[in-house]
Amino acid sequence: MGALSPLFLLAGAAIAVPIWLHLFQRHETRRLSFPALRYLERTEREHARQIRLRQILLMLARVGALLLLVGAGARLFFAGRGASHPPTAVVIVLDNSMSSGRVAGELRVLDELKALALETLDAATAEDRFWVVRAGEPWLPAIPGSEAEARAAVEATEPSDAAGDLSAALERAARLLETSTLEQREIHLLSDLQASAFPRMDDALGDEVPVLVWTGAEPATNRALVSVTVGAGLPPLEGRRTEVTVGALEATTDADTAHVPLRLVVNERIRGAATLPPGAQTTIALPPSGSGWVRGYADADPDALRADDRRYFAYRSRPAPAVAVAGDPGLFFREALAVLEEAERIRAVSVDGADLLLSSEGAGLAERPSGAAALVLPPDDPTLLPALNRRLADAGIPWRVEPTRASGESRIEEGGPVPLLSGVRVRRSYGLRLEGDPPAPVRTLAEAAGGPWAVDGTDASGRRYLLVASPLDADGTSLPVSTAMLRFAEWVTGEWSGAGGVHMERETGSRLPAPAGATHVRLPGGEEVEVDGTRTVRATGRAGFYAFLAADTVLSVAALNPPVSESRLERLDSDRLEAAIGSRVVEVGRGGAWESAVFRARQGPELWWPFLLVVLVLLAAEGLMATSGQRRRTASVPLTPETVTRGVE
Amino acid sequence: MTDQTSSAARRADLLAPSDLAQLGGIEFIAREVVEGFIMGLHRSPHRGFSAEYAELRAYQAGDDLRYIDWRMYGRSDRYYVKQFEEETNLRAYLLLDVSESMGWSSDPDVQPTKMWYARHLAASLALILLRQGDSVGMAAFHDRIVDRVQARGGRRQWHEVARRLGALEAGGGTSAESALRELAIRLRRRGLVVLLSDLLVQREGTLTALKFLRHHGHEVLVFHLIDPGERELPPASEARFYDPETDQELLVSVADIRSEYREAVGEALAEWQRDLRPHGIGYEVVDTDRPMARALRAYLRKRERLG
Repeated sequence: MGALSPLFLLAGAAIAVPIWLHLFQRHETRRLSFPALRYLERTEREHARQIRLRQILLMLARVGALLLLVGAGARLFFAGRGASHPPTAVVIVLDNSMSSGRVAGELRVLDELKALALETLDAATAEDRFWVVRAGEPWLPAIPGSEAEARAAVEATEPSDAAGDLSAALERAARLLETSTLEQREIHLLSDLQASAFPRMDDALGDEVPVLVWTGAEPATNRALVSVTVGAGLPPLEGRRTEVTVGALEATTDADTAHVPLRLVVNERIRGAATLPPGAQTTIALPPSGSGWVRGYADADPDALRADDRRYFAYRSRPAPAVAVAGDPGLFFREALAVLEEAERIRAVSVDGADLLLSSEGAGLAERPSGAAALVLPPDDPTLLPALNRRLADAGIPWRVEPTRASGESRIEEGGPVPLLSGVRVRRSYGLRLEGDPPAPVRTLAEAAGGPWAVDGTDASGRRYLLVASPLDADGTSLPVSTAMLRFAEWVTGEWSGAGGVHMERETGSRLPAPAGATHVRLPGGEEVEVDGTRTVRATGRAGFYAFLAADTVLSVAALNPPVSESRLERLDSDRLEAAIGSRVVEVGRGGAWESAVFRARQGPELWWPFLLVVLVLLAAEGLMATSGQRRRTASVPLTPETVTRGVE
Repeated sequence: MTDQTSSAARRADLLAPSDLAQLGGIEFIAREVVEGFIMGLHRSPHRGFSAEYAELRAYQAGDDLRYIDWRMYGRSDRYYVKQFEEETNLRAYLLLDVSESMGWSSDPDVQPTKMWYARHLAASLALILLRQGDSVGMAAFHDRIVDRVQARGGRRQWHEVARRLGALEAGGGTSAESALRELAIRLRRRGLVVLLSDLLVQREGTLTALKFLRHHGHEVLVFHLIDPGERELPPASEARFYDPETDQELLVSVADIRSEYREAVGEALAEWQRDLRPHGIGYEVVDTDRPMARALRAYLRKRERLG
């Protein structure tokens, strides 16, 4: 129940008047001479209870009439189905993450969610304000507008192949509502309530805004391919066999033991097939291939959720990169290069024929051929830094390496562009300072102790470089004595030799770093998007191949797949739902309850006319109570002088 | 028809007391009332009612020899006894309650007091009685008997009664029981006792006294005078009522008990009637805003029963 003129409710204080009169009105009265006082005494004596009862009833009738008048004046109304409501700001969080593409019955889950959103919009008025937040495409701006605009946005929503972060979506919805001037605010969460969509259980909204959550989605099982690994993580080499390992989603119940039949398709040709039990992996060998980019996918038999039945991969088959070493990179790095050379992952060459120069203390930088990248390692002795800086300057690398006063051990921060460096302990490092305006954008690949630890960029001659702040020995970092050393060496030689291209698992919706020289990216649908100055491309919600182009040349290809979490369809239960969202969760199940649940401050029919009707009834009753005794007695005991006289006769 | 209407309009016994009070003094009003009343009975006002008529009756053993009419004896050789004017059929005693409550009026500017009404009703009754050849006495009382006129017949008696009635003032409390008992003792000869009171008295004692009178062979007629303001509470929502006799107070929400009060008054009147009737005591409620004809007619009915 609500009130259109709530201030009028203050007039409810008027009920104090009849109560005050009832309790205290006898304080000021006239004094009248009245000899027949005994009749009054008799009246009070014989009718005390009746009089008291009537007084109370009269008082209640008057109080009730006053309250009803106040209610009528305040224009109270009931909340009720099909009625109007005060202007409301509504954020519709529509979960179009990959799991919403699951077909349940004859409809996709998203279609059902959209139908519910349209029910909300059907009940909307012109004064309402809407935002549509697509949880499966969080990089898209929320669509604000009228009911018609929201309707168009809802109808245009299609399932994404990306993950939905409902915690973030709800926080975003709350922020959007804060910008609204409307008093009534609601968030409508239309989702299949996948547990993985709530990465945080931190009471995201508290009790600020009511959140209507549709809980009608049915629980379901799913079969999916969740991983594809090429060459055990190493870039396949030209003319060498390689292998692809495919993993299936684990079973959610003991009864779910159905195997997953799959096919491996490479360059549009089926290269193998297998059947996977839930949670298992299988490896399929691929024949040697020529130089160039290879695209493929593992394809499982379709089930209700089609989007995760295919998993893409792409890699570059290339010759082993030519690597030259100038100066002494240290024992550990030399050993790592020896292993790679022995495994024919690299070829050792002289500086003038190298794809990649591993330069210690800046040696050989000036001699490297055009197109050759360089990994620059600092000297162990700080007194040699001036020489290094001169060589860097001579090579057109806009960085200076300087001693620092920082002491103690630090760690390379997590979440950097190079995951294999995350967590590496740095015991000794130099400071890296950018000198002047760089000829091309530079990137910080890793940070430690608050400063850059590894940076890359392009020198004045257009040659790529990678500069690290610590010598690669045991005194400098923990990297040389860890298993990551070999991977680091493989990554450096592969990535900076221009021959990189190992398949990396990337999720839809993630940001893709554009390779140097890329001008456009071709999306899975075939449309091409220009690479902007951020040098990163926000992948769309579609799984598939994203090809970076320089003119018509394919520089690199990234295969994006749906997040594995989206394949796990476990739903959030009510307890966890409240923990994740807040105390003002309103769960709405099936059965047509959604339409009546939305617009919490729904304004039902106004009550002023029934209130006034009841007031009239109360006043009539009050009048009857005040006069009923008179009429009753007149009818039953006609005590008139004539009667008494006749009695005497 | 017109004559009858104009005649009725002139009849003082049918006038409202408030109008009647404008006419003049007690004797004039009483006479007018009685004249009007008798005229309404459709008989000659003078036939059979003459107070001058003296009757002779045959001597009976025990009669006082002083009253033998010797002239008739000489003419008829039979003994007849003279019946003197005072020796009438009925001795009537008019008892007036003159307590403080009788001096009350619910609307003093318009409505005469109960005392006024009682005085004039008593005077009218006295005139009728005397014209019938009855003897009339009067007593006024509140806590005690404050005035008394011996029962006698004749025109002079009425003037005396009227004079004494006109001089009465309301005051003092009411102890009807003692006054009535005292009167019963004093009234040796049986007769008609007419009590004019608002009966705002100690109930049981008054009942006992009235029964006592009845026990002594008196016919008793009670005129219960009631002001219209006693039947219906004043139009106030809340009032503090006090008894002018006792100064006792009562705070009352008039609006809440109006109907119950009306019922209580009705019940009280009915109780008086119920308690007096089995003892042959006449009871007449007289509203002081009504014409006196009603009360006179009640008397007349009582008188006819007495023969």
